Amino acid sequence: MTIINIEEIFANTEKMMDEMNQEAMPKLGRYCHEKKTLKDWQWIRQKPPAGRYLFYAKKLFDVEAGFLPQGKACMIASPGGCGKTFLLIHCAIAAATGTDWLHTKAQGSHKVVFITPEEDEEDLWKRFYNMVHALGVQNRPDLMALLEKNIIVYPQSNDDPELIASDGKATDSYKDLKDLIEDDHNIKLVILDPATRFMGEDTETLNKAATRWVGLIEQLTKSGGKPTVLVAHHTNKTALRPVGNDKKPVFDQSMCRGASALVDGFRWVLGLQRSELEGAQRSIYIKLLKSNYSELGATLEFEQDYKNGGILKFVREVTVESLNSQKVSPAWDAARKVISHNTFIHAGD
Amino acid sequence: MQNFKNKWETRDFSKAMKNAVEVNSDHKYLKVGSDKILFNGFWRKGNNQNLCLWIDKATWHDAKTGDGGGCKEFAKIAFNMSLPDFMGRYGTTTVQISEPNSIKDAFDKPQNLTKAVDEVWLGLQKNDRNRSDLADEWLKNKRGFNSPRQIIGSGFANLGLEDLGLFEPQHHKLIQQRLALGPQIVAPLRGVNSDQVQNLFFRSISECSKEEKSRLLTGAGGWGEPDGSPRAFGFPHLIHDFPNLVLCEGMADYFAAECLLGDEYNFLPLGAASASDLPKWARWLIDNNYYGRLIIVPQLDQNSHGQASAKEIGQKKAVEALRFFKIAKKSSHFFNWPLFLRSTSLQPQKITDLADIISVNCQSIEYSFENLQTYFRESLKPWGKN
Repeated sequence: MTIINIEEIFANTEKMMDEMNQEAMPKLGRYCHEKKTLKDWQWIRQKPPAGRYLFYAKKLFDVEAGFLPQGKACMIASPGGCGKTFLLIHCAIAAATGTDWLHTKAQGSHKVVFITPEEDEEDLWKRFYNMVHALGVQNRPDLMALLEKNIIVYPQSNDDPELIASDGKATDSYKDLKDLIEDDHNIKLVILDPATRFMGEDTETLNKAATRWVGLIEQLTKSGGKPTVLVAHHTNKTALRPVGNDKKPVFDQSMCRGASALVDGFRWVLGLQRSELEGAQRSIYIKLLKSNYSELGATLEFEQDYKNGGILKFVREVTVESLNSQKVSPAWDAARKVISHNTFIHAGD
Repeated sequence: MQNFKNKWETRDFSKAMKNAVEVNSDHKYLKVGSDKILFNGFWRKGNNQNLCLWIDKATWHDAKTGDGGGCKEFAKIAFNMSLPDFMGRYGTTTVQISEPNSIKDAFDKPQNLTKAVDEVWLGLQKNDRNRSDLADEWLKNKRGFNSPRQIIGSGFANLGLEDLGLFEPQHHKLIQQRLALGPQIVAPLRGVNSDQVQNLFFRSISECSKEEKSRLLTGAGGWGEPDGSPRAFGFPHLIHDFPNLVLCEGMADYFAAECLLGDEYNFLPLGAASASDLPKWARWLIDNNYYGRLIIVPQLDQNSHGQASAKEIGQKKAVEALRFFKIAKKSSHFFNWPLFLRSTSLQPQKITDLADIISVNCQSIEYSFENLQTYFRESLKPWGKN
């Protein structure tokens, strides 16, 4: 016997009427709409609403600062081998469970779509399994339930995931993705890793093509429940500058590979760099390269813990003082070695 | 009745008994199966489903009274009629006009009419005074209308072989073909230029295939006037006298709108031929400077998942019509289906058009036509932002 949800039928009728009303509105010329002045908008008299973020960082005196903005096109840019995919998996887990990511915490739990055409099922399985067990989530049935419900994963497939065709129009893949988002308003984060697999052939080389591609990504952020679309992108060759133990990592927007319109189009760009320390835990440096909504903040240092699923553990904020202390420590250690050696010699006399 | 065949076959009795039951029984108690029909003793105002008609044998039995038998007994007990009278009233005319015509054969090549359709319409109405009113019974019992003869001012009529003389010879085959399908309801179509009936819409009131459900009189201009203006159910010539138009699709929705509006004198209902005609009407109204407000009542066409959807063709045509009005900056909006459904229906899954609201609601114990009218008028206000 079929159970009929009357409320669902009413809601569907309302949705249909909304769509019909919207479609019936004539398409006006771009500048034919009502000419609203600042007075009409009330933008200089009324306080604007606070920005909405998926993640917030705790600052001094319990002040929260927004980190990853909600409903925007966002990018993580890094050289290969910095742990982008680890970072994104951790991000997905945190967003789905309302837990910590980097130095931030997710605001509530959200549905996440994770699409990674470069990773096959087995690789992703290992990554998710290791990450979840390293985080200790398996001991929390409530979080496990949220994870299993909230993360939708699309591993490697035979289909071409390009979102834009060579003529600049949206592909069927794009339309499918848009349909997916529109069908489920609970989806608040869409992760595309890596961006190149979703770009068209000229996206990285021509600014016009890049702008069109970013435009399509922006359209996704306006669909369904208005999700954040977070893409992982590679840096260019000149940005492959691993950081020594006494150098402050260098970050700027030009490190992102491809046409400058790519970075220009994204509202939020997070850069990653790695350290080169032999025999030590590798450090990963992170800095906001671009944010239209918050201050860029300092460069942050993390340790990548491979024994624990590749989690990035926050070490410290990178400052001149912290670097100096890093310089002093080895020198002091060396001096102490010499002193103790000399002492030993004298004692032997 | 003329030209009766001397001998009816079982299937003729079955068809006649089935028609009589479908038209007269209270459909709260009506259950039609492939081989039998269960129904109430409508002639004795029975309120239980305790009668059975076996279609294949043309026999029946009343479990309450023990009555039963064949068609002759049924005619006598249920209608106090002789068998020939009963067959004349409820039987298909197949028996009188030999085998039914194919659709193709039912249409002679259209010729110019020598007689105004309005005259035929008046003749049909006149003949209705002296015959059983199957159309009225169908509207009441099957579609749930209260006193349709009083409320539906635009009119409707029955059709019988006795009407054949009213029609031009070129239409005789069509009329015979319609009657061969079973009882018909006839509704008038009028144009925007006068109150004269310009064409007639024939709709079968017994079950038949979708393709054969309805026809117009051939050679009478279909759904358009010679000057290109559209025709509709209702009184389109009064458009400019009303500040509000309620534009719906088809005969049943038009009748429903007319009934639900009741004595609301500021609103004129109109029934377009179909969803495809909604944009034509919108265009015509704009071109002819209609000054008032247009309220479009789209049907709730469903997608393959059984959900009403803006992507269905009916809804798209309604959108097209409304957009014409919006572009012309004229007052217009859709009927407030969300409000009406919420206010009136505990079974919204059964509602796909305005007429369904009446036929579904009349089965409810708490049915009140006055309430439906109140909610309908309330739902003539726009939904959403518009």
